[in-house]
Amino acid sequence: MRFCRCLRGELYRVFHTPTFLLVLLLLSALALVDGILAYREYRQNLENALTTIPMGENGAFQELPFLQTTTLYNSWIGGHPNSVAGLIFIYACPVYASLAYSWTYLSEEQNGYARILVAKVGKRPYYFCKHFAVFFAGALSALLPMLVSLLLVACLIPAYRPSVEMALYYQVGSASLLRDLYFSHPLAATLCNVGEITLFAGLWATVPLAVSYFVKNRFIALFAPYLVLLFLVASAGRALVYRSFLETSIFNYLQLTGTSLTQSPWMLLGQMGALLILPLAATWGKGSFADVL
Amino acid sequence: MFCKFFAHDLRHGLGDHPCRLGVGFLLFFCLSSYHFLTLRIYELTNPEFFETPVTTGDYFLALTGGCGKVESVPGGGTTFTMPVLWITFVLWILFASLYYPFLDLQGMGKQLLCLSGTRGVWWASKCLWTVCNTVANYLLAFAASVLAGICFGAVPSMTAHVYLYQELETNAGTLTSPSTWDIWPLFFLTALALVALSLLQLALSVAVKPLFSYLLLTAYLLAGTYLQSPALLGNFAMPARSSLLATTGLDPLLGGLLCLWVIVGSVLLGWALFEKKDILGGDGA
Repeated sequence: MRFCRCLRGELYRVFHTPTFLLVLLLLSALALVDGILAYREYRQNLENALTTIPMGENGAFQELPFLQTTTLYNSWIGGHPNSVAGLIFIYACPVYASLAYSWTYLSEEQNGYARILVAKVGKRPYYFCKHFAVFFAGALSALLPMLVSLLLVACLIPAYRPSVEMALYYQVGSASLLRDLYFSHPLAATLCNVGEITLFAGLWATVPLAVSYFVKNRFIALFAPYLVLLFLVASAGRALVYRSFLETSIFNYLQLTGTSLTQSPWMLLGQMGALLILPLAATWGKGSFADVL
Repeated sequence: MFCKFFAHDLRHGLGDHPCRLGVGFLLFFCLSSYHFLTLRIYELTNPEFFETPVTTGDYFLALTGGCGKVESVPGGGTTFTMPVLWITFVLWILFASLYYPFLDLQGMGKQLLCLSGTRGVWWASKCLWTVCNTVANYLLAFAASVLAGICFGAVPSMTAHVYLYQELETNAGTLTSPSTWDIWPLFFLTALALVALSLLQLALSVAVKPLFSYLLLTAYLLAGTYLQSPALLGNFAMPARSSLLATTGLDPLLGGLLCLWVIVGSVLLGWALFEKKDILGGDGA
């Protein structure tokens, strides 16, 4: 009962925290800009087809118009190749997911609010409620802009089914995990990709929370894990070049159009599993210690 | 009074953080060391470039070079590969300058501001501290890459070999030299661009919070990795995008001028905003 009440309070605070709302606003604006640029590409492609390809008396194109090169499934922010907005959305994901709500534990600890709550609901319920709220805020900060992007693009660009003959235009790598699903059931592939990015953002948001149990500098707690992640991605990329063709960068797993290296489900599961287990273990440990200071 | 403010900032902003400097040095040393692994590949694929010994300039350029201009390929694709090494390098430099000014403002800096009765001196001291801190971290990265090179048998020299065009994802047909580049001008231009970005971050931190200024700078730098444009200052911190290395690159003189403008603009704008900022309410972060 106390756990539920505490969780309800935390979730209420998520939606009333200015940083969370500001992050949502910025990312929604990014999704909007990307949608508009994608629509411009679609219009250019359509006008090009209408002006260069002759039409028969029945109104049908006399040659293949290549209209499927621009479709809903390669125009939303997560699946848009050669898009600056999509690049920023994926690579800055750890930063904005952290900014949404991960800093609140340090703030509460410094102003004493954490101790009041711990006295009322208990240590473990408080820390697990905080962990869940941070995960929820991080996940939502990625999910809502993606839904905005999908809905906007769905209103503007037709959902042509991607054609294998035009695979070059979609730039979904031949060794990509979702490649087969992308051409057979593109909506399912898109929803899987949305789920993947949402899960990563939520899990990543708990990493600065776990770091903030040990480090009291807000900036280090929020951004140092991101720099460590970049260091690991760069190290793996450089150490394994020409030695292994297995994709190791989590960002290239999140981006459908990210890579031509071989993607392994075990690599993805391993990285997501580490992001799930390590912060959760830190939260469990923090909630178990009997210290009162 | 300014000298006392600046001495205080140097002592507490740099001298009190040996751990951060040590971690930065280790980070750049490790990243530079990976070049030794890729060298083995290039010695097999491009032996013609190895008639002269590998230099420390090669190691430094491999760390800070970034990636060349993104070009389209037939079928709608591009040659873009995210320069993760470069983005790690630049984001670390920006991170190192991010939080000291505002932690100081919450602590002793607020007392000093109230006692001195002037905000301009505090702001000028923080700007100069940011410049010194950025240059210090940049020189640390340089020292780490030079040490990594020397450990792996490189010759101390700021002449880089052209085989690096593969590592920098540059089109071989656009290279400005058949054998080597002198990277001293790029060394100074990269430092100037990093100083400009750090001061821009400081000014943004006054307008929006420091946490959001880092997010905005990250987005700005990521946009710069894909788009080659003088409006995106990150391009001038990326030697692979310079016309000294590739004919399709940006003019370094233009880069230097733009960076100077951004430095002056950031200092003045930040000062104007800081004069009106409420320093007594909230935690500022």
